[in-house]
Amino acid sequence: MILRVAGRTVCGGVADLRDDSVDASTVVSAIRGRDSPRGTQWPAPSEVHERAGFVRPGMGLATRTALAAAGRSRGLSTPVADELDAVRAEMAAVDERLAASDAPVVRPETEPSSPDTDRERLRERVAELRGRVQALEAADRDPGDARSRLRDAARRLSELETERVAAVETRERARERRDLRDRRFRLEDREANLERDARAHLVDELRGEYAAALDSLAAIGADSTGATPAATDHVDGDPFEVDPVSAALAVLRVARIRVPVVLAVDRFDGPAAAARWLGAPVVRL
Amino acid sequence: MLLVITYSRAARQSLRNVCRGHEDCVVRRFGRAALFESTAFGAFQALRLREKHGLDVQVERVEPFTPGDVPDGVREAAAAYENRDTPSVPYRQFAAGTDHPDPDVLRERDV
Repeated sequence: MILRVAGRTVCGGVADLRDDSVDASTVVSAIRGRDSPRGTQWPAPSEVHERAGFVRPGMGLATRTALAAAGRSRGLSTPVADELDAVRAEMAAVDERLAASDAPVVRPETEPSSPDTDRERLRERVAELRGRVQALEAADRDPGDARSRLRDAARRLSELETERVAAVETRERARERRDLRDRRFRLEDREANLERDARAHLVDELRGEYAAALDSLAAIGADSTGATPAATDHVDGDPFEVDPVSAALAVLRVARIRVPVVLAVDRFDGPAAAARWLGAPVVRL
Repeated sequence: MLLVITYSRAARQSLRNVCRGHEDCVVRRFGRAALFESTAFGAFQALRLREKHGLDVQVERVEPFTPGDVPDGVREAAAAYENRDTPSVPYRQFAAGTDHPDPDVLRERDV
């Protein structure tokens, strides 16, 4: 890594910033690429880094989820991968159609403006007036007034029919959009279930490695303090119930990390030892 | 009553939270949908959901259904059909040659 901070440049796998007065969150943000570049040159951070990459006292960690992310960082596949891809592809297709059809929404909740009975009555009226006009013409009388009333009624009827057709179309388009939304909703649920399955698979597959990493960490701790820290003593317990710091370090070791890990804890014999153990560049704060 | 239907996981979760937190205005729950009281408070909760999730929330008004408002012929057809002698007869066949309305005619009419 090449890191420019506090007026100097640090190259290599380890940056020891304990003597520099740098703000931890600034460093983390820079590493995760959320701030404007501050002399960082490396690829965008992965999910496992987002979750476990800043190791500090008092941190929290969704350990299983982080371990699954570690699996993904190593490109491990799962039995549901193909189905997940298919579901996501379908979701993308539905999203495209939704985006296209969401254009001018004309009050989808509006009902047709006139009830059937109005139109029926008007239809009868038009028929009646037409009959009257024809009768007057047949009797050689002036249809005048009746004809103009017929014209008005016919025009009004035509307006109502057009309104109804438009309203029905709007309603049908609204229903189509809702059908698309519904389909997307069911895909969302399926995606979440598949993601859950994938996570469980990855956790299963990496459980051994993760537990071994915890063991190794405990051994280091025993070496340096002469006693085994209770926190990493998981031999009889659930490896996912250890303290977040130990869990994070173990997950990071299991993961494939290219972006520097930010360490604000003292578990190793110096930052270089930490970098070697983790298999990742380290910024020690 | 107001019928609230959700169309995304996030919207469904919000609806669940409302139903849990404001039981008094919820008439019935159906998971991804619910019936709210047709009060200003019920409308307020429904509109909050709309604000939050946009088109992923559908709100409709629900009115009491009075069979008397439906044309007699339709009611009579329903009753007659449910009381038919031969259970396996589809309605179209049952209605043919009788005064009962054709299913196509029934589809064309709004009620």
